[in-house]
Amino acid sequence: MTGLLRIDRPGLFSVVQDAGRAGMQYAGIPVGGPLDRRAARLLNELLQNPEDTPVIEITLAGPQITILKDCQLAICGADLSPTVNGEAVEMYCPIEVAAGSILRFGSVRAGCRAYLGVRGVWIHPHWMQSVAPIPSMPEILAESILRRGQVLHILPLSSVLKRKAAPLAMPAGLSEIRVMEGPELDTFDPLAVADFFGKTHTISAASNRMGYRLHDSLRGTAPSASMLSSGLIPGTIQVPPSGAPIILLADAQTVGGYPRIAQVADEDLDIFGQLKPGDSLRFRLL
Amino acid sequence: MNPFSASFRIRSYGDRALLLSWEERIDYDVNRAVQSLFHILESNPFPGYLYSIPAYCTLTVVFNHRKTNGYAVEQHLLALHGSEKTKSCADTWRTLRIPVCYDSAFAPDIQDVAQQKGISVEEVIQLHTSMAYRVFMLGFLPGFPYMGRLPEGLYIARKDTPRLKVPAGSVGLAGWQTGIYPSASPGGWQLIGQTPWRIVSPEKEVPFLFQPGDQVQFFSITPGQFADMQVHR
Repeated sequence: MTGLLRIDRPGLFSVVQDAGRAGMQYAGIPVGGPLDRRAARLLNELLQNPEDTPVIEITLAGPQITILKDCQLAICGADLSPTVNGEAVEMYCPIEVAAGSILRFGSVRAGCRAYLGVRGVWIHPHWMQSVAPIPSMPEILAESILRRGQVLHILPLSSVLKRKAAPLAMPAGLSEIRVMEGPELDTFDPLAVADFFGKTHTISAASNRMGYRLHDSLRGTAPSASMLSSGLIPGTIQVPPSGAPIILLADAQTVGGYPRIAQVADEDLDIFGQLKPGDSLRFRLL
Repeated sequence: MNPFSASFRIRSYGDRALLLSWEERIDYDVNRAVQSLFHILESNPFPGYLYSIPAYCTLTVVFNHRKTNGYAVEQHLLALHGSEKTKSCADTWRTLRIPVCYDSAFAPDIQDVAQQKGISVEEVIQLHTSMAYRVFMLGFLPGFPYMGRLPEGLYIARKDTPRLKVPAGSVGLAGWQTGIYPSASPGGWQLIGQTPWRIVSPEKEVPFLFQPGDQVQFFSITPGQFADMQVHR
């Protein structure tokens, strides 16, 4: 038996992710993968797993998980007050956990998404070389969205040396996001451009792995519609007729017809994974 | 215009992609130029190539910016565009014949479309099945084919208010385009029929019925045939 993690409670949204599915975007398949790639990468480094090993992405309200076998795990990313058998867990560091232990999460101290990794080999369904579920194809990889009672199968490997990594900075207060000009920036009303780069924006509650919406609309008239649909990539910021910008993320659609005002610098894209509704940000043009 | 010599503009699209744009219109030759460069790039990738997205008149090329840079990618693309190989791979050379039931039970907007265009429902069906369309691109939903160009008599705006749920297999019209919803989803296209065929079959090695560059010819079936084909698909 390879059952290693039993999900007693799934939490708000806990999802299995790996490096995703680059290469099928011509067919409309989103790239997928962790929103905070730094945290997932660091996790597999600490555990000495291959970099495309699945991790569990945990959003705000974390799950309760019973550990079924002795193993080594680690947690990176947001600080969601993780505990094992009631004792606080050291993050950014491999820890030994005994069979029968219970992993819980509590209040959100910093960030939005924590990542849980296990030292070992996952035995989990794949579709097109990835475990990342696709929002518009719910019939596949349902196992990757954790649900109550589910057991995740992982073969634990021998423990690695305990080593602590420097914690990633989580957003606190106002975040500055570096962007480059989007393909349609010059078609926007100057008032809209002034608002986009001049104002402080707030993340709307209507935000998820497909995209983050900003709460307030930009002033000025929207660019004349009727742009032919064109490629979208994670980090593209498009502005629909409502005027409220949308930052597209890992699960976004691959083509769209709204004008693209800016493109998030790749290095700053991971910050969105740690922003939550109500957080504020400003854009700076590189 | 010779599609293979059509010129495009290259712009940077953030720090890890380039956007190649041809003349902005729904046009067979423009789209052939996009797709031929897409295919040749897929079979002749550069170090650090991640993926690309061919659309109507643009190609988005995404790369690993730790392994290469925009300038090197641009040089690679220009060399590919100039090469002889580019000339042979714009089309899949397939024509797919797709059954569609245009019966009102499967076509909630067909009366409306006929009324707006001042023609009969039969004429809508006759026009829609009168020619083969090109699959210009896939997107919006996985495997959703954007096809066209529609004959003059079928040009129609999207619905003012999108439907919350469009059934899988629905065949719709929007502007000069016609498309098929692979799965149930919200959508604003004018629905004039439904195909019993599956557009996406995740269990198959090639899960998508359509590829960019396919030709698609619709033919009309009865509700009885629809039921038969759905059972036997």
